[in-house]
Order: sequence, then C-alpha cells, then structure tokens
Amino acid sequence: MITIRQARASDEIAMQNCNLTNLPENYHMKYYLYHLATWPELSFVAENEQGRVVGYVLAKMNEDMTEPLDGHITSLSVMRSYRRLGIAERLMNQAQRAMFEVFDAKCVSLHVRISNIAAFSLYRNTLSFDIDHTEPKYYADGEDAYSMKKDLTALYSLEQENLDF
Amino acid sequence: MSLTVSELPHKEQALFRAALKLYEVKQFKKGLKTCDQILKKYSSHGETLAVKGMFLAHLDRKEEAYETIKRGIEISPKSSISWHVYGIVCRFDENYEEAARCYEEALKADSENPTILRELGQLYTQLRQYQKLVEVRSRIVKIDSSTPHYWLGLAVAHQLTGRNDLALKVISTHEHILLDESSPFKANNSSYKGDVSELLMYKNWLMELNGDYQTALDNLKEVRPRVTDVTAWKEQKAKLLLKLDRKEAAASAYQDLIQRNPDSNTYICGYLSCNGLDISRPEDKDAVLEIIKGLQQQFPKSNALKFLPLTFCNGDDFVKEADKLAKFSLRKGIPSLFTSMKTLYTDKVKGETLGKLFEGYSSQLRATKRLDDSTDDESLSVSTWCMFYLAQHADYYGNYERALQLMEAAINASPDTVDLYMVKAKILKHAGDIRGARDVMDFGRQKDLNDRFINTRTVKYMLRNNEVDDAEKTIVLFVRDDAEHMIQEIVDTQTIWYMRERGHAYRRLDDIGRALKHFHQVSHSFETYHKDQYDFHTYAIRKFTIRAYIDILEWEDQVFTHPVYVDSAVAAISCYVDLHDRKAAGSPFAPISVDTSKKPMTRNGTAKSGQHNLSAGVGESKPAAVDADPNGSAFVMADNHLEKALKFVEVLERSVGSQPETHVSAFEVHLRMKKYFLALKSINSLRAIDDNHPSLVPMVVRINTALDADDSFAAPMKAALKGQLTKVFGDASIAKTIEENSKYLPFALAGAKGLICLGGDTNIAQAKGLLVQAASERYGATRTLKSLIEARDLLANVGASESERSTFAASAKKVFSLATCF
Repeated sequence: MITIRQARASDEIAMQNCNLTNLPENYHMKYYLYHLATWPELSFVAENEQGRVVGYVLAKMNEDMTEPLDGHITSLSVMRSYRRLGIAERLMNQAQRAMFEVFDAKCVSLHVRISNIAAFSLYRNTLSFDIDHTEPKYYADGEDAYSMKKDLTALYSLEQENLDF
Repeated sequence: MSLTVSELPHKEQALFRAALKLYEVKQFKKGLKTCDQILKKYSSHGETLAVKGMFLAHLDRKEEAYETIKRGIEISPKSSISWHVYGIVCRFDENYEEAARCYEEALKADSENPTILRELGQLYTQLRQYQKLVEVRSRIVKIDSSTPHYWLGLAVAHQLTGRNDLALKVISTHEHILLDESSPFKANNSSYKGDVSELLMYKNWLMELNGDYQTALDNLKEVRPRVTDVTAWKEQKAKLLLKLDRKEAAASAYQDLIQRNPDSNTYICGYLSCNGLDISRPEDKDAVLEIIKGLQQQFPKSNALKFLPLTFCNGDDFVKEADKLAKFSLRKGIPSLFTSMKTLYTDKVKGETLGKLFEGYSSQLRATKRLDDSTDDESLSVSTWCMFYLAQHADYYGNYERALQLMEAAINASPDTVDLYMVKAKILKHAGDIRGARDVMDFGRQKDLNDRFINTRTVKYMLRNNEVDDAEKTIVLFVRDDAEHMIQEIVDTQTIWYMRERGHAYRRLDDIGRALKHFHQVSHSFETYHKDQYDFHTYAIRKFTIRAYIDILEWEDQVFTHPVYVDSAVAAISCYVDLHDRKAAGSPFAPISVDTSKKPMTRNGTAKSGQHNLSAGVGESKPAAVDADPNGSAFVMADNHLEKALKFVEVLERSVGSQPETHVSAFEVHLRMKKYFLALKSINSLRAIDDNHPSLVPMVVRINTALDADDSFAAPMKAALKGQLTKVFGDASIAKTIEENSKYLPFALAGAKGLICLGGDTNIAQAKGLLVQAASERYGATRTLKSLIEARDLLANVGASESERSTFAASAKKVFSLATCF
C-alpha cells in the first residue's frame, strides 16, 4: 500500500500542496527548502502506489539556543482519504528516531489546536505525547494551542553497530 | 572624477568606509545621507555615486539607482567597487546574468577579493555555469585554504562539473582541518559533530559515485563512530554491499533497514535483490512470495508488505492474497482501498477477479451477515465499505448508473461518512454531471466544516462548474483571519492548484484576461520556486548538508516539468493565441470590466452569476492595493501576444520536450509568427515522440498552406521546407488521415481543428460534419467525456446551427446518459 520514506527536494511541491489542501497554517516553498537544507534527515513522506505524496511530516530541531536541543514538528498532515492506515504514526516514528539519532534530541515537541480532538488523540494516545503547557492565541485565528512534548531518551538507545562485514 | 577612494582626503575616506558599513547593517537611509555628504564636496566621485545608487535601489528608487550607478561607472570604469555595487543591485533585482557580468568586471580590478569571488560563485551556480564556478572557487581556496566552506564549495563545484574524482581529491586534501583532534572548529561549536558527520557521508557518497565501491565500503566502516546520520550510513552499507555482490551481508543489512522501517518499498525490494530475485520476473514469483511471507510474519503491521504480493501474484495466489488484504481492509474501514487496488486494474484479469471477489463478499454478507472466515456477525460497516469498493469498481469501467446505485445504498447505511460523498461526487463528475458533483461535494463539506480537505475538494468542484465567486467564498473560510488581504494571501501562499483551476474556469467563461492573470500567477510561483535556491548556494555549504543541496539543485533543474506548471503554460499559450487570432480577425477581445457599482461580497452575501469581481476579496471593504489589474486587461491589451506566448513555449520546449502537447502548442505560436523552420522543428519533434500523433497531419497541411500563401518568404527556403515535408509525410491530407484512423475520435477532432484553422466554407463545413458525428458508435471507447466536451465547444465556436448542435448533443447523451453538459 503506502510506502514511507525520507523527504527529498522533488517532494516539496507535493508536501506544500498536501499542507495547503489540509491545513490553514501554510508556508512558502523557501521554508520547506530551509528544512531540507538544514535538517534533511528529519522530514518524511508517505507515497501511494501511484507515486503521489499523500502525507508528510516536516520536522526540525529547536533553533532557540537557550534551550536544550529539542526536536520540533513544524507540520504533519495526511490526506483525509488515506486515513486508518496509521500513516501519521509511521511518519512520526521515523522523524522522532531521526531526531534522537542524528541530533541527540532529548525530546520532541509540537503544537496542536485545543479543538482538534482527532489530532490531539493521535498525539496523546497513539504517540504518547503529554501536554506540556497551553499557549494562548497561538494560531493566527486566535485559537489556543496545546504545546505537547514527548521524551525520547527512554525510547531509543544508541545501538552497537556491527562493523564485522 | 575618477579618483579612487584612497585618493580622497581622509575625512571623505572615512565617510566612504562608514557608508559601506551602513550597507552591511541595512541602514539604507543613513547610508544615502553619508554618500551625499561626500558628494557635496566631490559631486562627481564615481565610486561614491555607485554606492549611492546601491542605497537608492534598496529604498525602492530603482530608476534613479541605476542611473546613478551607471554614471558612477562611466566616471570610474575600472573601479572594482563600482562594478561590485552594480552587481549587487542587479542581483537584488534577480537579474543574475547581468549581475555576473558586473562581478566579472569588478574582479578584473580586484582579482583576489574573496567577497567578490564568493558572490560570483553564487551567481555562477544559479546560472549553472559550473566550469566558471570551479575557477572562482579554486581562486578562493588558493587565497584561504583553511576555511572549510571554501574548500567544500570547491569540491561541490567539481562534482557539479562531473569530476567526482577531483571533488574527492579536494576533500581528502583538506578534511584534516575539520577532522583532526586539534581542529580549531571544534571548540564552542555545537554543530561540529553534525558537520563532521555530513562531511564524511558526503565524501563516502563521492567515492560511490566515482565507482570505488570497495574503498567506499572500507571507508564506511572506518567513519561509523563519527557518523550521526545512522539511516544514511546503513542505507549506504546495504547499497555498497549489494554493488560488491556480497549478497548475504547485503541481505542482513537490508533486514536491519526493514526493521527500522517495514513500510519502505525500497528496502523490501533491496532485500529481494540480495536473494537474486526480481519482483517483475514471473519465474521468481514463488520464491519472492515465500520471502515476503517470512517478512510479513516478522512485520505483521507493514502496509507495504500486505500489498506487494498483489502486484506480482497471479491466478489462485492472487485471489488468496487479495482476499486476505481485502478482508483486513474492509473490517478496518480503509477508505483508500480501491485507490490502492486500482493500480492493479491495468491487468484486466486482476480487475475482473477483484470485482468478483467483492461481489462475493457483498452477497455473502447480505445472506448471512458473515464472510467465510467470520467468527461472528460482521459489523454493518463492512458491508458499507464493500459497496463503496464496488461503486468505485463500477465507476472505473464507466458503469456510472450502477456506481451511483451502490453509492446510494452505502450512503443510506452510513449517511455521516464524508468519504462516501466525496466519491459519489467524483462519480458524478466522471459521468458528466458537474453540477450534481459539486452539490454532493458541498453537501459532504457541510458535514465537517472543520476539515479543510473537503473544503478544498468542494472549491475545486465549484471551479470546475465555473462558479468562481462561490469558490472564492468557500476557500476563504480557511484563509487566516489576520491576513491583510485574503486573495493576496492565497497568491502569497503559492496555492497553485487554486490559481490553475480558477484560470481554467475563467477560460471556460471566456474571460481571457482573468484567465491569463491566473496562469501567470502559477508561472510566477514556479519562478519563485526556482529563485528560492539562490541563498542555499552558500547556506547549504556552510551547513555541510551537501547531499541535500545537490538534491535541491537537481530538483530546481526540473522544476518547470511539474504538471501544474506545464498545464498552466499550455493554457496561457492557448489564451494568447486566441487573443491574437481575434485581433487578427478584426474582433479583438475586450477585457471584462470590474463592476464597481456593486457592493463587495460578504461571507453572508451572494454573488450574481456572471459577476467576476476579483479585486475585492470576500468580506473586505476595499480592493487590495496590490491588485492593480483586476481583470487582466494588461495581458489583453498588450500588443505582442505571440511574443508573450513564445516565452512559455521556450520554457516548455526546454523542460518537457518529451511531451507531445509541448510541440502541438509550440507549433501554433511558431506558425503564426511565420517562423516556419521552428514550426517544422515542432512537427519533427512531435513525430519523434509519436509518428502517428493525431495532430501531425493537420499541422503539415497547415504549414504547407501557410507557406503557399506567404509571398514574402524566400522561394528557395520555401522549396526546401516543403521538400522536407513531402519527403516525410508524402501527400498529406486531413481527410485521408481521418479515414485511415476512422475508429479514433482524436483524429477526427484534430482534423476538425485543423480544418477550422485553415478556414474557408468547404473546410468549415467538413469540420462541422466531423464534429456533429463525434459521438458516433464507430469511435467506440475513444469517445471520452473530455473529447466530447471539446467537440461540443468546437461546434459552438464554429457557428454550427442550433439543429446541428442538438443533433450532436443527443448522440453524446447516448454515450453519457447522466451528463448535464450536452
């Protein structure tokens, strides 16, 4: 069915299209390129059998140098017609592990609208995020956001690579 | 005066230096004042004038800026600073070619200036002049061989010219500067570890590109402790092992990768190749299936592994695997099941088998509420999803009535499932009832007003139904409330799908001005995409993310191949050609005016159909300051339509020369511009792609006719051209080619279009005859909805009588009984 893989430059227009189709928080192409050129290992796409991008996660590391290095999910979206396949979960899992392995991230954070029950449930129940705090009027239309966080250190450990090959 | 800065008195020198510093911190107004201070005493100091021009440019006083700079350069033509400044301003205006020339001049007077060399490097990269890039970056490294991003930039330049070996050499020579224990770049550098990792992986990739697989593999082992991009390292390991034919080790490496991501088709197929298996070889089928089953046991949740067997199994195996996946998906309620299966339908047998399978489930569920492996009654939704699948199956085969019956049943069983409405709408669209489709989609949208996805779909369907105003009202529901201007926001966020659909809607409404405006907006977005790479030429190198950077460059090289761009470009060309033709025929198109007497729409108001008030957005009381040309009159009133079209033609010919549509479009422009050799080139390019393309013979006939009619074209050239055409196409005749392809509607349509272009009573009558018959039985399955709509429109444009048009409409309705467009 759906294949999950790292995002490449040629996916950017499709990711932007997926984002514009599904979400009201949108970005210029240059911002997508900025993610790819800074943290190329962190963003992933879901591709259907016809080669179309039907879901993506756009991820980065926190750029605020005063805080410990956190991963951050800029944007995550899956086309509505591709629900029930666990795509969001799979995308997030790949991104999280990459944050830990490549950038030593201790945790990953994201924002979600307090009214978005479906997304909140995905992060809380399926992906084990916790609410860290509420950010009032985070969204452009004035809605509050939950800032959610997940500890990565308990999840992954640096494996011993077998160099005998 | 041509005094250099250093020849000025101390005070003025200090002021000059201060001005440059002010530029660096973007204090343009202060900088301008500082320059004027110098000019008070030395009013024609060339270099100061140039720098003043630079400030003017950044204060949006463009014309003055260029004048002042040019004056400065006239006075001090050998001044490096003056040319550098001129280059900066050209670059700022995104005129990269001119900028490069200026920088080259600047370099003549100051050949070791690292800033000039670096910025010129950026320009050369943007312009894809890689050889020159190597030269300037070599010079920088000679001046300063320790700064990593200088030698890394040189390595990249070598790679871009195809010299991976030289790229490797540069890195090997200089890498110790970064990698050594004592490296000065280690201390207080939080990105050091990542930079080292990226450099090492880049180097390893170069080794691979250079064909040194064993060296690369050894190197890979060596660098593992310092590599943080674990996934890339493991992928590289698997790839190299496979390339070295070390199948067992490679298999284990791929297994490791699959463990990390069991939904990767690449990893799974890689694993199969390690076992010497190829999924597309029928003789490997059993072995592949066995391996996949083994993997499925290890990774039972993997969607990719569930679907893969269906792509290569046949007969009983296929039924077994399909049955497994189908039951799982129906029980889970996966809406995209048919979309996935659809890719298998190119195999007729598989399509039919799947139909039978689901029909079987359906009757079983009706009779017993169970499937053959159920341990209990199935939930009602299973049967709903089953009908949902069968509806799409029927739709695929064009049985729209059956499809809609099934959708009705599904909707009755589950009236709140939005997916059902979306697919019902799609079926209606296929059947030619665009109004019905739009209504159903909107009905579904009302069920979940918080969901932008269905809003997007509804907007698209409204536009397909030419309801520009309603579509706008609907899309702005999801545009940021704090956006200064809603419509501009849509343009700013590069919502290219909307611009394109809107353009087509206006085209259908015969509002060519607005249509062109939208197609230009799409084009503008893509030009922005292309320009976006500029800053990354330095940024990515500083970040060491070279692999991603090369990927970006390769994408940018192809960006104009994107279907949305191509479609918009083709549409724009067709609009310009139409404008030209109408003008030439004495009835030029007049821009449709903005009705300023009407109040702007509010979200609660309604818009009269036919009113195309684009300038004010919904809920806004005044038009956007940015929208200086709401009805696209600038495009319409331009006097060089064909030249404008030619710009699009050139991009298409460069980017998508392998697509037939490119040359069909190009021909229309070249012919009208009387560039007969270019028109011939289009014909030949089209023929190279498809020597039986329906448009070929009409094109040949038209160019021959045009040549015959053109007395100003030199006789020997005419003869040469016509000779070439005769040699390849013989005695081309539209009637003949239609007869030879009498079962194919595309030939009749292309022929009719050609005859219409040729003009004259006989040709028009012939064309009409063809078009009225467009829905005849003999054309069989080539009577697609799209072609019949095209026939309908051509008949209308060519002045067919009411009775001719209704004869056609009646026959078209026999093919598409649910269509509302005939």
